Amino acid sequence: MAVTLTWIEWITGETPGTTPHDTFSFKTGGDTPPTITSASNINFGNVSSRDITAASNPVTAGSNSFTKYFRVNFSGSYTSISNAKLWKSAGAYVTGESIQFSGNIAYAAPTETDASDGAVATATPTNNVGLNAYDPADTAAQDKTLPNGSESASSPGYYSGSRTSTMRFQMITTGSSPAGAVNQKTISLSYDRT
Amino acid sequence: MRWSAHFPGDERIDNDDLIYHDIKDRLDDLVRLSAQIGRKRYSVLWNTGDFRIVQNIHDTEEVPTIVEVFDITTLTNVRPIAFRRERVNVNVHNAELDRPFLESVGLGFQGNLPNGKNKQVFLLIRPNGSYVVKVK
Repeated sequence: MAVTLTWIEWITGETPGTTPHDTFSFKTGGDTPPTITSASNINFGNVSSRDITAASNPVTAGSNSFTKYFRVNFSGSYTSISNAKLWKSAGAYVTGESIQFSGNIAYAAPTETDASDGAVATATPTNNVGLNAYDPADTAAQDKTLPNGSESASSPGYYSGSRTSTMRFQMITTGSSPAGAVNQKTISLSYDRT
Repeated sequence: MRWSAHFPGDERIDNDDLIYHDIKDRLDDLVRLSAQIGRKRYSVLWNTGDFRIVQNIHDTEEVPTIVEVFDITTLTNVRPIAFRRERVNVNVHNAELDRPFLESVGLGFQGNLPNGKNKQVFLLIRPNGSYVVKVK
C-alpha cells in the first residue's frame, strides 16, 4: 500500500497542537482523529492563508510574503520514514526573488518580516527536514525517523499520524524585482520508506 | 517493482510495496533478499553480503554478475536495508500537489563493526535499472 502525504498548514490564529483541527491526542491512541486542514499548494502572498490565489494577493516588490508553516503527515503502510529532504527542483527566480526555508523550526505567528532562514536548496541536499514530530522546539537533530518511539500503529505496519517537524517557507523580494507574476516553481520532498 | 525474500527450502515471501515488516523477525533464516525492477533482479546474498545482478530474468542462460563490496560476516547485528526512496512534488503558484513517485530503491545490509560503529552497504537502484553502490 502506498503512503499518502498530507500538507498541513497553520495560518494566523492557529497554533500546532492547540488549534482544534490539529489536536495531537490521537497520536497516543484511543481518541477519534481530528479533522485535518490540509493545503493543496504553497503559494505565497501578502496574507496568511491556505491556498492563496497569488494574483489576488500580490507581494509588493521590496517586501516579503507572509511566512508559511507546514508539517507533512504520512499515512499508510510503512515501518519507518527517514532521510527527508526538501529542495527547489524547478523554476527560475526573477531578479531579487528568493524562497527561504527551514525544515525544523518552532512555530510563530506568520509575519511579513524577513525570517532569515536562508535560501531553499536548489539541488538535492542532505536531510534537511526534521522528523521529530513531537518536539517542534527541538531544532538540533535532523536525522530522526518516523514513527518515533511513542507512535502507535493502527494495525501492524500501518501508521496514520506520523509527521515531520514544522517547516517554514517565505518568499523574499527586493526593490529591483520586476512587476508581474513570478515563474512557477516546483518544491520536491523525498524520503526513504521501509 | 517487487521485493522477494528467500528462505531455506525454497520458501519465498513477495511484496510489491515494502518487505522489511514481513521479514524482520526471520533474519536468522534469510538466504537472500531481492528487488525486481522490470526484467532486472538485484539480490543481496545474506551469507556473504555479495550482490547478484541478473539483467534479464527470462534469460535462463545468463550468468549473473556478482558484486563483492563488503564481507557481511565481519558485522554483528546485521539488518537488511530495503527502502523505497519516494519523492513528491509541490508546485508554487497555480498548481496542486503531486502524488509520491518512486525515485530509487535501496537494497543491502547494515550492521555493527568490531568497534561498534554502524556500517551500511547497499545498492541505490533507479527505476531504469541503473545503480550505484553506497557504502557508509
